[in-house]
Amino acid sequence: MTASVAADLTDVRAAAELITFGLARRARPVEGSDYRALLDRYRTELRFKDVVDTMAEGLGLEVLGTPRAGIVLVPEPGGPFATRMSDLRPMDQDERLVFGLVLVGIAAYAYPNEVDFDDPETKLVDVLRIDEFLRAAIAALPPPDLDGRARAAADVYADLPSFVPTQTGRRARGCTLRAVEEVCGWLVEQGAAREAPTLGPDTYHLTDRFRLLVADSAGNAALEALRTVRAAAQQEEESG
Amino acid sequence: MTATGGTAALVSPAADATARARWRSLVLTDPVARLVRNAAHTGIDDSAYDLRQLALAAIDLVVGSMGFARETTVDEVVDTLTGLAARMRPAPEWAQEWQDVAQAVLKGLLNDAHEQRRFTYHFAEMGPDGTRWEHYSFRLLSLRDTEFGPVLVASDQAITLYLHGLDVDLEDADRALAHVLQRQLEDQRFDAAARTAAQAERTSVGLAATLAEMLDATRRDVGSTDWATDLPERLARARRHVEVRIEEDDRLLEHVQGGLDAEASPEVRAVSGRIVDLVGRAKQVHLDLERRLVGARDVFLAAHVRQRIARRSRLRMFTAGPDLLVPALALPAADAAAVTDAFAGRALGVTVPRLVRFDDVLDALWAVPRVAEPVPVDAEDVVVPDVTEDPQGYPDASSPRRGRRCNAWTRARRACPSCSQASRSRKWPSCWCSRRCGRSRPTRPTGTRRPARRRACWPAG
Repeated sequence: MTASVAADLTDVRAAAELITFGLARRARPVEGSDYRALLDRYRTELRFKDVVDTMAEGLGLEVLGTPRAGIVLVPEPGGPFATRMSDLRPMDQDERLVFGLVLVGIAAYAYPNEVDFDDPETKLVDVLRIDEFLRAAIAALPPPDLDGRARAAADVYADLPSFVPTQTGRRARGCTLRAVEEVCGWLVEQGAAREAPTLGPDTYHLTDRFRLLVADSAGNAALEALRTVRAAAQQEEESG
Repeated sequence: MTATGGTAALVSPAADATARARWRSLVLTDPVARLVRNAAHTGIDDSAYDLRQLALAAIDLVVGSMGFARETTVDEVVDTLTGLAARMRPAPEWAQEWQDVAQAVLKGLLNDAHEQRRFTYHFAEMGPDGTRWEHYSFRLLSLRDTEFGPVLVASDQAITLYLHGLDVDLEDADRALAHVLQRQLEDQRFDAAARTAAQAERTSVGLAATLAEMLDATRRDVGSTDWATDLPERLARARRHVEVRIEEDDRLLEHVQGGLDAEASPEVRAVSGRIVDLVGRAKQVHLDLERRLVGARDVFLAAHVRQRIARRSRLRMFTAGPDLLVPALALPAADAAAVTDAFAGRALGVTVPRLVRFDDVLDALWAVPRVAEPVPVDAEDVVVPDVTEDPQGYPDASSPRRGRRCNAWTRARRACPSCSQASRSRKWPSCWCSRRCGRSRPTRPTGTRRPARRRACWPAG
């Protein structure tokens, strides 16, 4: 900020309320609600928008957009509102990788082209189809060119069985279908998906929140991490 | 085909002129035909359910709610279709199937078999320079995330299908129907007039839905619609149309109302009353449409300020599959974990940290443990066995139960192959017979199974 602009305290309070609604993931801006009024103010008043954006920034958050379902906030990594996979369930390294691949797989399945990120159509995903999609992507990969001891991420996923039943016939831990099911469950908890039992078992709607989180934040962060990893590998090759 | 080259007509000049429009009308119904074909693979009997009618009903529901404050949710459509399926095959043993049928229809309209992509067809445009293939892609229904949950939205093509399956201009159709209606009323053809009024109302709803979709698209992305030339013209045309239609609606209402007051015949009065209702509803739709048209320009300006003039902070120049998933899968596990962690840290959104307070923990520890409430158990009807009957004995030859014995039971009781004595044990004994003939455990005859439990052999009653 090069110039300071005085903000009205009532605006600050209203901005804080809007951010609170955004953090309460189940709040809906229905017609006539306070949430809807604040959301409309954010959309139309540039001054109020600045107050909200600035306050969110101070809290380690970023406003990604305001689709009909409500304001979408993304946390700064390491900030007080950041979500880590290990917070959701204790897991070892391989499990963490599998869950991460499932999450990327869901995004790749739902948004196959870059224009899909601009399309507000809600996408349907299915546990079985996500697993099939990931296995098909792994099968289409060329043989990995890794040194003897390193294991490719694709192998970690492919080595797991698709389905291991429990005694009651449900999916047991240690199979990829269970991993996909758990990730879909997390997305529901985080407000990024909704269950769609009327359209079949294991079917979920991906919300606008997930679309914006992937399109405007997660995708770029992952690409940046990919670039860093590749640069480090290249440097290692050159020095070795 | 009569011509093979040059500028000669393919069939006839008149046929060629309308070929493309007729081809489009034809492909509009193909998704419905396709869902009927695919239903056979999901075990749905096409002869028991009218899937085409269910598909039209789904589109009707969606189009009818568009442009109003609250669109139809997925659950509402599935519930309605389930109800219709139940009426088509009402026997209770098919109750499990009704919802499957509803789901199959809705998924077919969403093109769920192809990841909800657009239906794509190719039109062969045969000109003097050869054949050029033209793509024609469209959606029928699509899902949107709203404050009410996932709702369904119909495309222009679905609205056309909803009206009468023909590729027509909605404004022209609306105006033409109004003239037809007026003519029929003047001729006192009231039954025909009622049908026309119903069709006119549906056309008006379709027009309102098209405009609502257009304004929604503008709110979403102002670049998706052509506000330089196309949209202003369409809005001006729609405004003129609505203006005329509201006047005509009033005149028609007065006309029918006048006839209603004067006419004594009860049949004519009943039909006239229906026409008044239909025209009244159409007028309401036109008034809603007018309100929306008045604010349309503001929608554009607000969207323009927000989307085009505002600073563009992000570029979405990647595709999640080839740019992210495939490279991540090919990386060594440790490197891939860095990529997926970065992705997950953002894609999972926010988590509000919960702080543990000492007082709360103390209260929780001191709290009286919860006791599970006893659940009342429904006492089952116990079937008292007939004690006079020896369960091990041979049944009476005249007993009506004799015929109910299963083969396994009979096999278990047949004579021991060593000493020719009948077995008295219900299980396979170490020696088959009860006299302990000394033989070791016999092997079970090839092709036989273990005897079934007695309960299965002697069903109650």
